[in-house]
Amino acid sequence: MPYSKEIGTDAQPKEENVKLTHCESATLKDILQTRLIECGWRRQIEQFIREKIAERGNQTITSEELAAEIVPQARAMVPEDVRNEMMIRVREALESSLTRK
Amino acid sequence: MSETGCRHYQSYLKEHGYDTYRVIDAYFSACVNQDARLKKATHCYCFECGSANIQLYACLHCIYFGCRGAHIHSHLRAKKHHVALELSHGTLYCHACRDFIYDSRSREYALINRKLEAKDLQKSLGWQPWIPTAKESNLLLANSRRRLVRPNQTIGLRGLLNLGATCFMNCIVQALVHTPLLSDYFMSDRHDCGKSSHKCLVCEVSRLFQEFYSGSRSPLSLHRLLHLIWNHAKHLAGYEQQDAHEFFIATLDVLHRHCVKAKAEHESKSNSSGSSSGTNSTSSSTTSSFGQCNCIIDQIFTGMLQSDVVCQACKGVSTTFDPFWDISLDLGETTTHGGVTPKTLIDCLERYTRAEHLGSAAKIKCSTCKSYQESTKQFSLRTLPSVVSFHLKRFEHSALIDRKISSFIQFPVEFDMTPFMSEKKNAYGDFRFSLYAVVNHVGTIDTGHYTAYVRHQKDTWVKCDDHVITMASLKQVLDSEGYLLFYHKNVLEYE
Repeated sequence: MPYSKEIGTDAQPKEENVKLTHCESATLKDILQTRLIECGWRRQIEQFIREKIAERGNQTITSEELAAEIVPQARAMVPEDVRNEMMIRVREALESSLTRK
Repeated sequence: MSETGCRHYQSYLKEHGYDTYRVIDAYFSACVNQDARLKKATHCYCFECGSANIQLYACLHCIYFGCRGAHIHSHLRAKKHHVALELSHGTLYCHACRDFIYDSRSREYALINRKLEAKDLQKSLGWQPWIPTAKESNLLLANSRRRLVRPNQTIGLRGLLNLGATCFMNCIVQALVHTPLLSDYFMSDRHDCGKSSHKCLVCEVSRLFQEFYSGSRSPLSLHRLLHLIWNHAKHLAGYEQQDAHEFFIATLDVLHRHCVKAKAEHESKSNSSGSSSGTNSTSSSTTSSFGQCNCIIDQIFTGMLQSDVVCQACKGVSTTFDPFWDISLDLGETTTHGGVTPKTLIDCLERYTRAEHLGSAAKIKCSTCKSYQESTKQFSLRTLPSVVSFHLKRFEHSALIDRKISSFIQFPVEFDMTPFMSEKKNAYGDFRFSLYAVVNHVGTIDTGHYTAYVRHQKDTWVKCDDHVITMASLKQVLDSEGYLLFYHKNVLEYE
């Protein structure tokens, strides 16, 4: 997917027009959310955000500026095993939708 | 201090009022009925790319849905529309300010919609952020001292004086005070007795928690607690050394009885005053299907043991369920099945849940084939409590000799109890547990001393030896003998 800027992910899918159903992507997002909460990533990010806001002191910060500062590091902070698990699950979902067509 | 969004939103409201916002929120952010769900499923897609996967924003000035980022921004810029609604969380976005905005009245409408949604789906209302009321804000401003728990702080730790062979009580109390669920219950003041609180053990424990977290570092004397337990568990009264495990079970029993009594009194009081539930008296003290009541002790400590007796003749299975507060594990040499002497906690559990041949001397009458047959009996865990306590049976009382088994049993810090469950394929079950307290016995069966290791914060272990509290390393904890082991569930689930 063209949105990720990291090395090592599939940049271009081999088959075009392989899409996940809404149900599949909702399930995957749900699983990812649970994993991230379990492993403490969410709490880490919340802490990180508080620190960033505290740094600014009285100056207000817009959500976009905050996102720009946090998102790159947040992506890197995702633990390896969560990343791998999601890769496997997404691959499986894509393959199953491929065979379905 | 009520929020009013930004000036762009205010001018939008002057022109359009709240209606558009309410409708869009009710249909596309928190679907309030089936019609709304249908409309959302059919129409709620980005007008640019057709996807609904990334966060969608709905323009509040006209009919337009767009993905977060380029799509919604280009629309808002092109049409000079200012306000959009982000649909995943229901937050307002102002393009002119390039930021999310918050307006109290809009938030109220949003809450109404979410309550309708929850009611329609017959679910409970999702998490709402805490907004202080005026009264709460004033309270917070008036009391400006804040207590921040940092990793090295010793708050929550206090020594306990030995009143003469009361180390058994001290260890159990230390373990209970460091049980996260129990401390949450007492620190949030959930116990309401109403009556003379000098006879209620739960009130006494509540006072104990207050003492532990008061910040004082001097050791406590638990004479009142001891007196109350003696009153209610007469077999423990006396000045000799008692068994820590027996004390633990007796304490849980008395706490359970007093919780039930307090709840019954609370209910009779609220019934007599005529008002219907202002409090959440949905959990009554009557027993549910498994004979389990809803007091905090049962919620935390009670699990259900499943015992399957299989008739060897017809293979018919007769299943019974028994509640348990702890699991007592045998340590002695195994006599049957050529098993080895257990060396780890897992070994003990495997032995506990193994199918045991009951032998020809103990024939059970099978209800299916209506005759006395040999059978096998197997234990498994049907439901696990949030806190599992293991009792290693180190004290052997037999006709010949009383002795203590001091063999080292290795126990893990984290382990998964799925292999010992009755239903292993339960998709929702997460049965991982973490160690948080260990009670050790040093000495012989006649004279000895109890000490406890408790987990103070996530990675700090502390040794509690009556009034002496010292830091301990995880290695020390794991190398200790282990008599009572307390494990806490990692992931708490609804029933």
